[in-house]
Amino acid sequence: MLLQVLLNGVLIGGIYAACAVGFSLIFGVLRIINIVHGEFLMLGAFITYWLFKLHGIDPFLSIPFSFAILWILGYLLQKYVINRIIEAPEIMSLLLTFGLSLIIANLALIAWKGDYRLVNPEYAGANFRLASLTIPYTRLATSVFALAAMAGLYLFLKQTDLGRAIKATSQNKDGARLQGVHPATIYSVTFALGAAVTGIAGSLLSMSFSVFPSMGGDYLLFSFFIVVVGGMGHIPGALTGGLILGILQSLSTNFVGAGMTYILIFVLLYIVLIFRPAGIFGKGLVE
Amino acid sequence: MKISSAKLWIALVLIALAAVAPLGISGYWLRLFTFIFMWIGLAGSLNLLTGYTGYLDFGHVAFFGIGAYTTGVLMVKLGMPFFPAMLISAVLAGFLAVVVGIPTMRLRGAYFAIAMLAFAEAMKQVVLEFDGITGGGNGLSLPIYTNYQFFYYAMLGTVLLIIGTTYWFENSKFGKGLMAIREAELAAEVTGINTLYCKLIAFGISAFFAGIIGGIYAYWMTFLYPGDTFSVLITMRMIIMAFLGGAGTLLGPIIGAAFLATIEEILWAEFKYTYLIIVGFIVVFVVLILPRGLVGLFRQRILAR
Amino acid sequence: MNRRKLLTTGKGLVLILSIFFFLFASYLPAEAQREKFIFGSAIAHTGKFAREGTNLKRAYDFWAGLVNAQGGIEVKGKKYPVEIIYYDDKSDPATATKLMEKLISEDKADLIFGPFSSDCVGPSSTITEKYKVPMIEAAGNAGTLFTRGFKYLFCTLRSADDLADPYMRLLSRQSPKPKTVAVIAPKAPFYLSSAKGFKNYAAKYGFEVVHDETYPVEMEDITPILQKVKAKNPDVLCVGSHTVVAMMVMKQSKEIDFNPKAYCFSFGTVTPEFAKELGKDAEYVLEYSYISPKAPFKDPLLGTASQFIEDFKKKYGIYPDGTQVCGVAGGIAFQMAIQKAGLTPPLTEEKRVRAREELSKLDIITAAGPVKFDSTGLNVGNPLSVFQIQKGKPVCVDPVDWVEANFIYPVPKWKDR
Repeated sequence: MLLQVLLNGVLIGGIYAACAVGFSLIFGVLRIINIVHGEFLMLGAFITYWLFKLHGIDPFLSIPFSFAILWILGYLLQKYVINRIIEAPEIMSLLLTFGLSLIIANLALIAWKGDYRLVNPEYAGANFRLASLTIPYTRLATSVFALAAMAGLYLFLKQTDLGRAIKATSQNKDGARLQGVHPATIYSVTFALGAAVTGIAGSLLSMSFSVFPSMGGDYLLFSFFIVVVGGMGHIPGALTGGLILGILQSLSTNFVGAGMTYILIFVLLYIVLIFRPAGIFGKGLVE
Repeated sequence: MKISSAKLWIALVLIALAAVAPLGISGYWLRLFTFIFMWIGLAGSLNLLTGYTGYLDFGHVAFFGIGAYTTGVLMVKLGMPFFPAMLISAVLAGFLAVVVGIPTMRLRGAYFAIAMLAFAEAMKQVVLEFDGITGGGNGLSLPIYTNYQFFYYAMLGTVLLIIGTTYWFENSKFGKGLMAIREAELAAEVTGINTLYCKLIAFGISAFFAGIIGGIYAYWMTFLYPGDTFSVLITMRMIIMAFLGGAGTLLGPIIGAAFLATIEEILWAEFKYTYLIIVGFIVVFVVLILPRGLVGLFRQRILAR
Repeated sequence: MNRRKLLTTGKGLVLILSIFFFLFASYLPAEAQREKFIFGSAIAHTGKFAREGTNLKRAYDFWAGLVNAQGGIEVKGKKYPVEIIYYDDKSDPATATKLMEKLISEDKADLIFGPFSSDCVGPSSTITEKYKVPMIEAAGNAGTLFTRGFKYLFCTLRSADDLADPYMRLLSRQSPKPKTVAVIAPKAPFYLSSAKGFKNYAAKYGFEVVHDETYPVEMEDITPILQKVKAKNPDVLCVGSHTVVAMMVMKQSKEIDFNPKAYCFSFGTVTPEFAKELGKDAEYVLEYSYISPKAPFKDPLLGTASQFIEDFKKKYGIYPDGTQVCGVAGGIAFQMAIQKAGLTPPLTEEKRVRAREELSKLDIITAAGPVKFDSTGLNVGNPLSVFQIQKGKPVCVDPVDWVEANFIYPVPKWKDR
C-alpha cells in the first residue's frame, strides 16, 4: 500500500514539476512573477482537447502543437507588452501579468463556456499490474514525457549557444551584453520557451484532469510551491520540488486527510520562504 | 499633502450627502453604495500597507476573512452581540498580522507576496477543516439583521476612519518613515528608522481595518462560505482598485474603488462575460500608461503646465 | 490656495459624482395594474455551475412556455401571461444576493425562482425573506438551509439528507446483499448533505460504512482518496457530487482499477455532458430522480409523466434530471397558489403574504411529481426514484412500479467492459 502511494506521488510529481519549470525559467531570467503562467497551462490543455475532440488527434500527438502555439503567444506577449515594464518594480509585472491573465482566462470563458471537459481517448484509464501495484498507462506516459521535456530544457540551456546566452543574461545582464548578447531578444526567447514548455505541461495535464477555462489558478499555486522549494530559477530544483509536492500530497492525503494536506502544503511553503528562501538546494534566486 | 480649506469643504459636503442619502434612496441603491463603501474600505486598508511601505500583500483577504469568520463564530457560538464580536475580530486580525509579519517581512517583493498568498490559502483550509466551529464547507449562518441602513453607516464610518488614518500617514513623521521604507529600505535603516517596527504597525493597522470590514460584511451577508470569504479574487480586486486610483495616496483607493465598482455595476448585468476582460484591460492600461494611477494622472497634468 | 489644484480636485470630484449619477437611469413609476406576472431569477450562466444553471433555466422556461401557450395563468376569468427575468449570478453567492435585491426592488418581480446550488440559495434567500417574497427553488436542498426558520423559502426538491433513501432501498433488495459502503464528498453544502444522507440511510438499511471522507473542492486529483477507499474494498461507492465530481470519480476509478459493485452519485450523471465526455466509462452509475416515464402522475398542463418527459426531451434534446423536474413542478406550484388565492399582478406585499400562505398549504399532483411543502419549506410529497445509465441513457430501475429496465448489479469490472 505504501508503495502504491509513493508511486502515485512520484508519477503526479513529475507532471507537477513540468508545470512549474517554465515559471521558474521565466523568473530566473526576466525576474518577473508570471501570473499568466496558469493560463499557458490552460491553453495547452485546451489545444489538446480541441484537437482530440474535433479532429480525433491523439493527445500525445498534439504536444508539438501546444509547444508551437504557446511559443508564438509567449514571444509576442513578451516582445510587445511585457517588455515595456521589464525594468520597472516587481509590483508592475505582477499587476500586468495579472491583468493579462484576466483577459485570457475570460476570453476562454466566453469562447468555450465554463464547462469542465475531459480528454478521454479509448485507452484512458487502462492500467497494468506490477507485483501489487496498479500503474495507469496514461499517468506513466505523461510522467515520462514530463521528465523528457524537462531534461530537454535542461540540456538546451546547458549545451546550446542560445541556452548559454540565456543563462549568461540571467546571471549578469550587462556582462552578457558586452559579450554581444542582445538582452531584449533573450528575454523574448526565454519567455517564449517558458510558455511553450508550460503548454506541453498543460497538454499532459489534460490527459488526467478536467479542462476548463479557470483551471490556471489552482496550478499556479502549486507552481509557487515547487519553485520556492526547488529554488527559483533553478531547473533541476523544479523537478525536485515537483516530486516533493507530489509525494507529499499523496502521502498526506492517504495518512492524514485531504483537507490537512492543503494546509500542510501552504505551511511548508511558508516555512521554506522564511527559513530557506533560496530553496532546499540553496541555489534559488533571492532578492 | 496638506488639505486646503476648499478641499475640506468639498469633502464635508460629500460626507454630509452620504450621511443623509439613506433616507431617500431605495433598497437597491442603498446596497450598491454600501458595497462601494466596503470596497473603498478594503482598497484603503490595503493601501495603508502596500501604498506606504511598498510591501505587496497578496493574502490580504485573510484578514478580511478572519474578521468575518471570527465575528460569525463569536455571535453564533457564544451569542455575543455584534459590536464586541466585530471589535474582537478586528483586533485579532491586526494581532495576527503582526505575528505573521515578524518572520514574513524579512522577505522582499515577490516573496512576501507569495508568502502572504500561502498564508491566506492556509487560513481558508483551516476554516474548512475545523468545521465543527466554523461550519466548514456547509457555511456559517449568522443571526439575521435586516436594518440595511445600519450596514450602510457602518461601512461609511469605517471608510471615514480609514481615510483619516491615511491622512495621518500622509502627514505624520511615522508616515514619512513608511514612505522612506518604500523608496529605499536599506537607506531608511541606516538613517536610524526602526523599519521592522514601523512595518509591523502599518501591517497591523491595515489588517485591523480589513478585519472590521470583514466583521460588518459577515453580519450584513448573514451567510459565510470559506471559498468566497477567503477568495484570492477579493485580494486581487483590492490591489487593482488601489493601483488604479493610485497607491500611496489619500484619494487613490477612493477613486479606484468607486470607479471600478461603478463600472462593474454598469457592465455586469448587461455584458456578463466581458466585464472581467474590460477589467483586465484596465489593469494592463494602468500598468503600461498610468503607473501612478488616476490620481497620478491628475497630478502629472498639474506638473506639466 | 492654488487655483490649479482646486480645479483639478474639482474635476476629479465631478468625475466621480457624474459617474454615480450616471447610474440614475429612468425611474420606473409604480404600476397600479399590470397585464402579466413577472418572475425573477438569478441563476448561473457562467462559473462552475454554468451547465446546471442553464439546465435549471430550461426547466423554468419550459413551464413558462406551456403556460403562455395557453394564454397565461388564469385568475378570476382573465389570463395573465408570465415573464421571467434572468440575471447571471456567475455561480457566486454574493452576486446572487445582489441580484435578488435588484430583481425585487428595481425590476419589481412578483415572485422568485431560485438560483442553482445551495451555496447561492443560502445568502440570496435572506433577501427574499426580508422582503417577504416567496422563492421557489429546485437546486438548493442542503439540510442546513431549512433550519433557519425561513417562511418564504420553498424547495420542490426533497431534502438532500433524504436523497439516499432510494439507493439504499434498491441495493438492499439485491442478492447477494451488499455489505459495505464508502462515502466521499467535496466540502460544500450540497455534497456534504448528500454524504450525510448516504451514511444515515446506509446504516438504516443495515450496511456498514467502512470509509467516510470529505475533501477540499479544489482538489482535482482524488486518486489518493480513491486509493484509500479501494484498499477497504467496499461493495458500494457513494459520492456527493455534481457533474464534474462524478466525471473525475469515474475516470480516476478506472485508472486505479477500483471496482465497487455499484456507484451512487447524488447528482450530475443525467446531464448529457457526463455520458458525452466519458463515453463508455459512464455506464452503470446510479442517480436519484423524482419521476419515471411509468410514474402515475398527471396534470392538466403537462399531461402524464411520460408525456412530460417526451415533450421535454423533444424541446431540449435531453432527459430532465431531478432538478429540472422539480423546477417545472415549482412553476406549477406558483401557478396553483396564485390561482387558489385569486391574485392578480402586480403582487403587493399583502398579496405575496397570501401567496406564501397558499404555498404552505399546497398539496397537489403534477406530472413532475406531487408537491406538498412541510413547515420548513421542503417538499415532502414527491417520492424518489433511481436511475441507472444503461447504453448511455438513464433508465429507471426503482421503485418497482416505475421500472423501465432491470438494475444491473453487480456492475461489470473495468477490465470486463
